[in-house]
Amino acid sequence: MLNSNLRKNKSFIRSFSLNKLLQKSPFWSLIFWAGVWEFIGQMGWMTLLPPLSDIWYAFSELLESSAFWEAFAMTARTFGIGLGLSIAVGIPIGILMGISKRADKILSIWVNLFLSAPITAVIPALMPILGIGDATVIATVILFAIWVVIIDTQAGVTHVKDSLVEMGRTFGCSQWQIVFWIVIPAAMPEIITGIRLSVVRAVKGVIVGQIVIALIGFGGLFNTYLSYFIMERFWALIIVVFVMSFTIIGLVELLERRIAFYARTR
Amino acid sequence: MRSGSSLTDIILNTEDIGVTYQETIIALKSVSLDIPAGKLTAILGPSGCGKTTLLKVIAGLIEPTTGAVKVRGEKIVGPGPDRALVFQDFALLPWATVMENVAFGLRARGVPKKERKETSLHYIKEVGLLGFEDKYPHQLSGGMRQRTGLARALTINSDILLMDEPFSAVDEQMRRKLQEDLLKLLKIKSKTVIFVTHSIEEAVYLADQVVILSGRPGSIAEIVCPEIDRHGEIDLIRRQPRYIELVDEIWSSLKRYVE
Repeated sequence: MLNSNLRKNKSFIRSFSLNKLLQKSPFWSLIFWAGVWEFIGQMGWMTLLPPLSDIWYAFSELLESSAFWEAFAMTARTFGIGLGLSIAVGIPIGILMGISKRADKILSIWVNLFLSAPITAVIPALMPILGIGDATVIATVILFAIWVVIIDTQAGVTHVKDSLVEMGRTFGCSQWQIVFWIVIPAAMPEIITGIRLSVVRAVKGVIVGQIVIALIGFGGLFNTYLSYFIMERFWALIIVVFVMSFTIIGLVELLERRIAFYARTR
Repeated sequence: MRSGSSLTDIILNTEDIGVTYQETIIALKSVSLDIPAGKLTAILGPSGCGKTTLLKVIAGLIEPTTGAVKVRGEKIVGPGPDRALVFQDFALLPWATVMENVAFGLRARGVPKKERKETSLHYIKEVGLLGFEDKYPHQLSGGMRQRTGLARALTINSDILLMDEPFSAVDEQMRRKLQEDLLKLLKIKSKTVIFVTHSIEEAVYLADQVVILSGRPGSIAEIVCPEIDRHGEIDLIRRQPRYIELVDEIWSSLKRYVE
């Protein structure tokens, strides 16, 4: 899929003389498309798409506004708490489901249901219960992020080699020692993958939550800019959100590569 | 020292052991076996005959459906420090170094860190892994990994060493080397070894007593005492007429259980 997409892209780009330059680095590709954007914006064909230079200007304005930093703080807070709770609660549940057949029977249908359910549809139902504020956004983040932590942790735990657990038992390890000394470290690569995927989902959750509520955080800002037609700020905010997600996900991937060193060797 | 003496001193015995899975699959049927102290007993049989199941019952990892395992007359309930197990797939922790892996059993018993390290180092030296303490399992060859597993089993200084096809996952040359090293080790250490294998040659080469299991359900078909002279050079064992004779004999009795 990705390959055929790439190829299509290439044949499209090949018609430009910039072909070679663009292939060299993604940086030049960014510059190129930014140029296209600027050109279309300057032509004024679409009011929804202001020139990139205006957005750059709006961006510096945005960074000076207190509304932006309030929204940023709220986003960071709800993201952090929601993700933290997802990991802190998701890992024990996943471990429990991995070692207890009964827990698996009771919980797995719900976990799988929520994993694929369109969570966005549930957010309006959360608002009357949790109010319009942090709690609803945190709940949204958790509903987005927790299931993949549970599923991956469980997969890691169930795939721990029987002989490792038997080894622990022959040396007289207690159940807790087996869980903490053998099962959890052995499942660590899958747990880390689960955390990485949950970070991606939490980023989506925190933005989607705010946008659906539309009154608080970045969601409130998006709503204001759109309804007053301040497209420069709207796009600047979009770019900020994209860059933030990209950075967080990049950081997690970097971390995963460092920790996953023994996953290869199992 | 090992051969010639009588097999009277029984350290472990199984009484009428039966293992049934899911109420219908009979893995083992009335296995009664005496294990002489200080000797190497090989459990030999075709694949799927329940020899590993028998070893795990003796280790206390599987509870038998009928019968009991007794160590010095005492019925066992689960694993115990009197029995150490060496695994077919080594069962090493991939995130831990050789030192940490070897010290695992001591750590589980709450031995202080310093003592743990000293004891582990002693056994690492004994199995010939000195200089590899800080390596991780994936950095070692199959033979070295099993030496690590053996060292770990030795640290708790149990009288009985249980080995589940310990050399089946390494290549032929390494297997021979490990077999020789095991014999050398047993010459200086008084251990009772129960050794599961599917190799007739390995069983005859190593064992004082070979227990032949018939297939499905596993039960004792025959017990053979090789009585091979192991006083002299280890290299010469395979040339003894008695060795060659026995391998043939066991094969002809085992043949009918192999489809």
